[in-house]
Amino acid sequence: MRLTVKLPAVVVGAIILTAVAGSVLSILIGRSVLRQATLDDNTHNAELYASAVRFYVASARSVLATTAELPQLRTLAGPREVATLVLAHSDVFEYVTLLAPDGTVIMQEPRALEERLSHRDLSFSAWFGEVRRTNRTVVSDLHISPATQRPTIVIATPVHAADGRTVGIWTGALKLGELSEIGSLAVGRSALGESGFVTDRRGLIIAHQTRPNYVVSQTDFSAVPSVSAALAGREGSGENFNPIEHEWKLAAYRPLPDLGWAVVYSGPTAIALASLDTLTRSIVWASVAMAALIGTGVFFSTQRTIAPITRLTIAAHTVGTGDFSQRLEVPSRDEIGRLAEEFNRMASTLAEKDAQVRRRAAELARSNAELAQFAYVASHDLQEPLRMVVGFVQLLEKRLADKLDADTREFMGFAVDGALRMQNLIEDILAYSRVGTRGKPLARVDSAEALKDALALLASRIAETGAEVDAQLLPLVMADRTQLVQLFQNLIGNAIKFCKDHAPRVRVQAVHEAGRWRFSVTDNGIGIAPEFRGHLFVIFKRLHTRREYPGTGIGLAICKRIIERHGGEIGIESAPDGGSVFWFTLPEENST
Amino acid sequence: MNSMESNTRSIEILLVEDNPGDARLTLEAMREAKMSNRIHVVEDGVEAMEFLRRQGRFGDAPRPDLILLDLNLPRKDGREVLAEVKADPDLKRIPVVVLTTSRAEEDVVRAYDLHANCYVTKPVDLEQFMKIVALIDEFWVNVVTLPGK
Repeated sequence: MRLTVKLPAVVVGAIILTAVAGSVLSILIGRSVLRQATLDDNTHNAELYASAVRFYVASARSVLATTAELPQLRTLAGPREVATLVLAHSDVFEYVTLLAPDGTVIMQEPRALEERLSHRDLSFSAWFGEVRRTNRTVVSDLHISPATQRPTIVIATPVHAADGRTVGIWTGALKLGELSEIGSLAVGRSALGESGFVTDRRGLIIAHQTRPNYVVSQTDFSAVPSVSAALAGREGSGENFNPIEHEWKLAAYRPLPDLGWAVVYSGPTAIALASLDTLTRSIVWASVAMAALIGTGVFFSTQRTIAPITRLTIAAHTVGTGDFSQRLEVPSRDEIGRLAEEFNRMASTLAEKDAQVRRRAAELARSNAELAQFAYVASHDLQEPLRMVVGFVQLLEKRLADKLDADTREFMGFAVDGALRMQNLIEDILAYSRVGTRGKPLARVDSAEALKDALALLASRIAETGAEVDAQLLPLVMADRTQLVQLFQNLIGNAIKFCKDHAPRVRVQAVHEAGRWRFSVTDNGIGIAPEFRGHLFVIFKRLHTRREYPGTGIGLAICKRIIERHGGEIGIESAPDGGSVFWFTLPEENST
Repeated sequence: MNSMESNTRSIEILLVEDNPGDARLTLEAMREAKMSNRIHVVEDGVEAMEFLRRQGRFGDAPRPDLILLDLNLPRKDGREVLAEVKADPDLKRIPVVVLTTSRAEEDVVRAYDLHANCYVTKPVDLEQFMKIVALIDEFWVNVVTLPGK
C-alpha cells in the first residue's frame, strides 16, 4: 500500500479505535450511572405513589366507617340521606350501597345506578362473604360491578344496630380513575415514559397512570417480576423484563401490606437510557469528523512528505534506465533532503563513471578497429613484399638453374625459407589476434561434437602416426564452437606431434567441478620438464628446434587465449607414465 | 578438339594489379604456362573502368574475355570495380577472377556477394603460384565456354 494512504489509514484507524473504546467505556459508565439514577427516581416516585394510594384508601375507609356509625344507618331509617351526604362531601366513591345482612341491595345511591343493577342479590360476592365472616371492614379485589358493569373495587363495612346486631353492610365503590389520577398528582408525569400502577393482591391492574384500559380489561400483571416481588411483600428496585409489555423496565416497587396491593413505578430501560444513545451518537460523529479531519490532514502532510520520495523514486527509475543527467531539488534540510542530496551525488558519480565507461568503450572500439585493421594489413600488405622476395628469388633460381653453384643455391634457399617462415609467423599472429576479435558469443556446444570436428581436421596426421585418440562421454558447455574445435585441434595435434618413437595415445576426459567442466588431454609423449612449464603458453615460445619438431610456437598461446576468453583456466601436469596432461576449464552449459 | 580450338583461339585478359612485381610474376607465370593470351595490365580501379568502357587513352581497347582483379588498389579499389562491372549490363557477363593476397574471410564473402566468378588467394611459393595461374588460364581459356563478344 502506498505510504500516502497507509499513514492516514493508521491515524484514522487509531482515532476510530480510541473513539470506539471511549464511547464503549462512557456508555458502560453512563449506563450504570443513568440506570441507578433512574431507579432512584422511580423508587422515590413509587414511594410517593404508594403513600397517595394508602392515604386515598384510608380516607375512603374512614368515610365509610364514620358514616356507618350514623343513626340513620344503624336504624336503617334514612340510608339514602347518608349516601347522598357521602357522595356529596367525599370524592372517593363512585356509588355507595347498603345491603341487607342476607346480601340483597337495600338501596344504592346515585339512584340512577340502582335502577341499572343487573341483580340485587350480592351475597355471592367474595367481599360480602368476608365481611359477614370477619364482621370487619373489607377491601374487595377487582371485580365487575353489577351496577356499572365495569371493574371496580368495593370497600365494605358492617352496620351494627344499637344492640350490636348486624343490620346491614355499608359499601362504597372506589373511583378507580381517581386512583390512577392521584398517582399523577403525587408524582407528575415523566417525559421518559415512566408511569406508576397499582395491582390488587392477585396482580390485576386496578390503577394505571397512563394505560386506563389495563384496568378496564382487568389485565393480569402477576407475572411481572416487580409485581410479584411486591405482592410477596418485598420492596425494591431493579431492571426486569415485563412479559406483558415485552420490554425491559427499570422498576421500583412497594407493597401495600394492609391491602395486599402492589405499587410499581417503572419506565422502559430503552427510553431511560435513550439519552446515552444520543451521547454515543455524538461521540461517534465527533470522532468520525475528527478522524476525517485529521485523516485528511495527515493525508496531505504525508503527501507533502512523500512527494519528494515519489520524485526520488521516479528519478531513481530514470537513472536506472541509464539517464544519469537526472537531478533533484533539495527543498528541505531533513532526512529526505539529505537523501535527495545523496541521490544527486550518486547520480553525478554515476554520470561521471558512465562517461568514463563510454570513453573507454569508444577507445576499446577504436583499438579493436585498429586491431582488425592491423590484422588485415598483416594478412595482405605484409605478405605481398614477402611474396615478391620468394617469387623472384625462386624465379632467379629457376632461370639461372645451370649457372648457380651450391653455395649460391643454399643461400637462396635460406632467403626463401626465411621469407616463408616470416609468412607463417604473420599468419600465426593473425590467428592469435583473431581469437579476441573474431570470437563468436558463447553458446551451448556439445564438446563431443567439437572434438569430432577437431579429429576430422587432424585425420591425416592421425593416420600417418597411427595415433589412438579416445574420449569419454563429453558434456555440453558454453563455448565458441569454432574456437573449441581449434583448442582440441591444437592440444591433440601437440600430443601427436611430441611423441618420439611410439604410436601416440591420447585420452580426452571431462569432470564436473563447481559450475564448470574440467577437461584434460592426456598423452604418452615426451613430457615437459617442470622448469619449462611456466613459459609454455607464451606466444612463439618453443622448447625444441624446428628440425626436431616443426612449428612456430603459437598453438598453446592460442589455446590460452581461447580459454581466457571463455573465462576458464588452462594448465599442464605430468602424466603418470611420463607424458603430459593439458587441462582446461569451461563454463557448464546452463551458466550464462 | 578442345585443345586444337584453344590453340587457335586467343583470348583477351585484363589484369588489374597495382604492384608491378606481382604483375610481372603473373605475366611470367602465364608465359611459363605457354598461353597465347593477350594480357593488358592496368594499375588501379579507375584505369580498369576506363579500359572496360574504352574511355580516355583506352579508346581502342579490346573487350576482355576475363578480368583478373586484385582487391586492394589505389584510387578505386577492386571491390568497387567488381560492383560496377557486375552492375553494368554490358560488362556483367565478363567473368571476374579475384586474385589477391588476402585470405580474410570477409574479403572472400564480400567478393562473392558482389558476384565475383571466383576467388583465388595468391600463394607465396613461386611454384604454387605458377601452378595456380596455369590452372586459371587452363580453366577459363580452355574449359569453360565464354559468351560470344
